[in-house]
Formats: sequence, C-alpha cells, structure tokens
Amino acid sequence: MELFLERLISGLTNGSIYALLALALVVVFRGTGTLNFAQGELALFTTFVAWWLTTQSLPIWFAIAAALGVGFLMGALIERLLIRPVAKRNDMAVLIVALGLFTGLNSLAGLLWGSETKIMPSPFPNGESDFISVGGARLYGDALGVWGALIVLMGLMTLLFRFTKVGLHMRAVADNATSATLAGVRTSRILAIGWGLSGAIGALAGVLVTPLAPQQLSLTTMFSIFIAASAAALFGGLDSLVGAVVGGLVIGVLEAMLTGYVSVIGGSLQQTSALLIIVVILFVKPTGLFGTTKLVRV
Amino acid sequence: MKRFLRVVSAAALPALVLGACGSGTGTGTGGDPAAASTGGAASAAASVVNADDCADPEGAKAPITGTLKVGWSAPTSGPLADAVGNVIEGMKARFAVENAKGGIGGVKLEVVVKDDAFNPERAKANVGELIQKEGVHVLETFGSGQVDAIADDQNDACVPLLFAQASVPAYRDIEKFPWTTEYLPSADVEMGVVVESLKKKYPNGAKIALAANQTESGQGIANGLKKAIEGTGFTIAAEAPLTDPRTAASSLKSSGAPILVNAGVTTDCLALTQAIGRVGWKPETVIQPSNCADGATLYAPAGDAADGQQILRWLKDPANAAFADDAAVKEYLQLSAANGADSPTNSYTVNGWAIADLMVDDFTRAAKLEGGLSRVSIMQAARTQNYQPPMFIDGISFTMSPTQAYGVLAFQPFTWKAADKAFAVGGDVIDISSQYDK
Repeated sequence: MELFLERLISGLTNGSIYALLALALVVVFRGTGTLNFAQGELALFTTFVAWWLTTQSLPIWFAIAAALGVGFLMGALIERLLIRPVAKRNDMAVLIVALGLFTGLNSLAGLLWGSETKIMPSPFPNGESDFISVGGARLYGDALGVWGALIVLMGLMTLLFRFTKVGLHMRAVADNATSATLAGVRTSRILAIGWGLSGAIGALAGVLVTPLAPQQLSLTTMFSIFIAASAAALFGGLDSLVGAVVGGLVIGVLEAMLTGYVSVIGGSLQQTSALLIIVVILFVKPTGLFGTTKLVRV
Repeated sequence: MKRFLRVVSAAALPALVLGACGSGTGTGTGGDPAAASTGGAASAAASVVNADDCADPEGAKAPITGTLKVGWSAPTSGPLADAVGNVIEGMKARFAVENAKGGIGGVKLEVVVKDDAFNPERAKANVGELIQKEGVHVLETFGSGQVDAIADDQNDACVPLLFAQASVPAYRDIEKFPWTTEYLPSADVEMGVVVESLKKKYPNGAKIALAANQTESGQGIANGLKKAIEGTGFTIAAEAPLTDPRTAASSLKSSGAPILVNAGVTTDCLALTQAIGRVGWKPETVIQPSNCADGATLYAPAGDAADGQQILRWLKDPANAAFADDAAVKEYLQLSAANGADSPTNSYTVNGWAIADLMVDDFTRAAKLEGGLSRVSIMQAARTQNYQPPMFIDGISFTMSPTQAYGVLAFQPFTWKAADKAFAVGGDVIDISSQYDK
C-alpha cells in the first residue's frame, strides 16, 4: 500500500506539473484559437529570469513575481510583434513562428545564462524533513505547493472566463473574432492579453516545477514537460480548463503506474504508452474529454 | 578478411607487444614520450593498421609538414556548448604549450572546429568538409551518435579519429574500426572496478538495487554491472528504469538492498539522489557513474542525501584539496590559464587538456616511426600507446595494444562528503588491466 501511495503521489505531482503548463496552452487556445508551441520554452526563459534574480540575492517570491511580469510582457509582445502580422496570412505561418520561437528562446536562454545545469530554489519547504506521512508515503511541501498552486490557478481562471468582461471577450474572440469585433470587442487588445496571460501562467509553471524536475534548470528541462502538457491539453479538450487539469493528472498517474507496475514497457515506453492510451480515447471522443463540439451553421 | 588476418597475427605477438608497451610509459609534459617508441610496438601496430586498404594509400603515408590539423565536429551551439567549449579550450591551451616549445619536430598543432549542434547528420557532413576542404590529419568528436555517424567515413578515408568523447563498445573492435579510438572508459571496465571495490566492503557479496537509464549509455553500464557480478556473491535484487527517478526510488527501496548502483547519465545523478532522499531511503552504499563528477551541481544541491556516495575517477580534480599540492596540477593550472583556458578547474577543460596530452604523446612517437609523422604512423602509435598524462591520477595510464582498445583500465574511488561539499579519496587505485589482453 505504501508503495502504491508513493507512486500515486509521484504521479499526481508530475501530473500537476503537466496540468499547470497545459492551462497556459488552454488559455492561449481559448483566447486566440492557437496552439502555442513555444509555450514550454517561454516558461523556461522566464524561469531562467527568476533563477538569475535569486542569484542576485533577491527573495524567491520577488523573483517569481518578476518572472510572471516578464512572462506576461513577453507573451503580449510576441502576439503583437510576431504572431499578429503573420496570422492575417494563414494559420500555418503562426505555427512556423511558434516553432521558430521554440528554438529561438531556447538558444537565447543558452546564450544569456549558459548551458550548464542550474539549481532553482523552491518557494515551498522541500528539505528532507519537510513532509507529512500519508499511509507511510511521504508528501513533501513542494509537491503540496504545486498541487495548491494548480487548484488556486484553476479557480482564478474559471472566475476570469466565467465572471469577468475580459474573460467573456476572450471567449468571444476565440469563437469568432470577426463577430466579436463587430460587437465592439477590442480584438487586438484581447489577443495580447490572452498571450500575456498564458506567458504569465507558463512562468508560474516553470518556477514551481523546475525544483521538482529531474533535469533541474537546464535548456532541456521543459521539452518533455511540454510534450506531456500538450497531450494533457488535447486529452482534456484544448478549450477546457478542467480538461487540462484532468488530462495532466491522468497522464502523470498513468506514467507512474506503468513505470512502477509494468516494467516491461514502463522503462523505455512510459510516455509512449500513456500517450497511446490517450490516442485511443481521442478516437472515441475526438474533441477530448471536456472539449466543446464545434457547431457549424449551414 | 585482410584486416582479420592482421588481427590474428597481432594476437600471436603478445610477448612482443607487452614488452613494447611496458617500455612505452611516458612522463607527461616534462618527460620525453618519444623515448617510448619501440620497433616492436610499431611492427605490431603495423600488423593492425596500415595504408594498404586506404583509397589513397600514399596520402595516408604522406609526411605531415608545417601544420598538423586536428578537426573537431562538436556541439558548439545548444545545451552542450559550454561543456564542449571547455574541452576544446583545454585542448587548444595544451597545443599552445607544445607549439611554444617548437611543436612536434617543428610541426605546429592547429585545432579546426565545426559546429554539429549535437546532430549526428551534421557531424557526418562536417567530417566530409574537414577531410576534403580543410585537409585535417586527425579527427575528434563529442558524442556516441556522432561516432556512429562518422566512423565508416573516416575509416574509409583513413583519417584517424582519436580519443573520441564516447564509449560505444562497437568502436573498440580493432578489426572493424582500425582508424577509430575512444577516450571515455568502457562501462564494462568501470563496472569491473566497481565490483572489485564492492568486494572489499562486502567480501561475501550482497544484494544490489540497479537504477538504469534506458539509453544506450545507461544500458551499457547496467549490462557491464551484470557481467561484472557473474561468479561473485553479488546479485541484482531489483532493477528499475530511471524514466521517473521518484518511481524508481520507491520501487528499489522495497528491495531492501544495501547497495544502489546508478546506471545513469549525468542528468540522473542529482535526480536519483533527491528521489531516494524523498522516499526516505539511505542505502549503505550508493555508486554513481563516473560521468557524474561535478560536485557543485550534482551532489551539493542534494545536501545530506548525497553524503557518502561514491564515484570512480581517472582524472585529477584541480578544484579538490586532495590535489592541491600535486605538481602536475599546479603546472596545469598555471599553463592552461596562461594559454586561454577560462575555466581551468572545470572537469571538461581538464579532459580537453588530458586528451591533447595523449595526442602530443601519440604524435611525438609517430614522428619517430619509419616514414615519420603521417596519418598512418599516428594511428599506429595510437594503437600501441601506454602513457600516463600528468592530469591522470597517479597509477592510471591510457593503455592500448593491437589486441585491446580500452584505454582506461584503472580508477580511483572517491567519496562525497556533504559537510565539506567535496569529494575525498575513497581508496587506492584499482587496476583491472590484468583481466584484459594487453
């Protein structure tokens, strides 16, 4: 039982990490209808910013706040300066720009801070004795912190989209930008806010997950997390906040259980196996578990 | 078939080769490695490597004059840029010292670098350009995939690939790849030394928990351990993939094994240490792979969880107090810094310097062979090298013979001391060269 609980906690923690980044993807998609392939590397870049600030003897919470600000600014600027000019031409151009940003941001981080692994401090207690025992398994402060951050963020996002004007406008723009513009929505401003918001969420995800990531803070930290987060967002239904969280947690737990109990495939095919199960589910429900079915007027 | 016959004939000359290698131990920058050259070693090497099979035999035998070019295909951009940059800096610094002394009999050493961004296909293209456009005489590269991509081409072209930064078992096959040598220790040798070290603490054997990375490197170490424990009292009680270190730690903890061996790559070292700490497991003995040598980034952040962990080393660590009074380290620190190495205490810089030392020894002995300094004489000298670079730990040499291509066949154990945030010597050098045919 203790072993099962340890694997479950490990899976839920990894799943929360995936879910945090998946939320950022969903926010961009809900606001702008675009899947941002550069989301992981944007999160990585802002995490480097936070790490650098901690090396300047600034408090970790200040560094996180600054990273969120930088993330918002970068997200909004990317939309304004890079995405918007090409989005008018075609969707493929947006994907190519995002892929360019993927490699560009990674290279820029390497250029500014070097390629050696850095140790990002955790804002939560993560010493060897900072845990509570759950059925013999250890639940550490930083894992609890990530779970808590995910719940709070989920709540805030739900409030934003359901009960605020900006959230309503974001949904309207994602649904039909032309109609939203005709209805008086300042589309360009909403798009910039959507990208900025996702940049800030990605920054939060980065600074919280890096202390827990096996690679710590390196140029490759976000790659595997982004793959899992993308799968989580697709699994949940791309435009669903709940779906992103459920998708992330399912992938995290599936990976942990496959690795622990099905060693034949769990070693080298851990992520592949988890993704395969998701593909099967998507065959049955193409819009994802919680995705909205598109209605076309005829 | 011709290569096979040459290897068979070489195997019939062990006494000759042993004698030659025994007299071939160099003494570093202050010695005269040229004195190591012997006719016996040369003739044994010639039976393995010669220019007969080359597309351009005369080119392979042509004397090198003026400048000897060492062509690198290396990831000078991307995540490994810092590491490989330090290796190249170390090499350039060592060559600068040699050039200031007049070079290899008047031939100056030059390094030519092409970026492959750690992409094997680009490495292959780079090597084509380095050979055909740059006219390099020797090649060097960083990464197993890179060696995979270029080995056939450089063997066909008869351009030596010396001390490649890889440890792929296939390229220790002298018959198939006579023009290729690797610098990094074989996982089989390293695990052989690990088991010899464990025998001292557990004379009757013990259970081992094995955490294995699923890459070729990780599996190489895991298989090396399994081979090394055959016929001993050690058994693998549990094996877990390192895909998720936390899950691996939980699984291995339940085995109750007193020994944990990490068959991982560099990124697994800190992750596994943190994971075992978080599941509350403190094995009596934790063995980390030799590629996890950097204390500051791989051990210190784990705090007490890393205390007592062991690694094997073959290089002196200029940042470690244990080598503070070592004359070779002092000389290295002074000369490397004076010749452009920005991070002389970085382990990658030390590696670059030591590899350059091995090359200088090789080139110097090659120049003394019949026909003088040429690509083929360089390869023949490499196949009979028995030399201790000054930055190798005393008692550890780089040893090659026409019948074995392992290079490093001895290690010294070191133990991480969390309180001091440094490694301390954990025992004497363990040499298992007698187990290999020299």
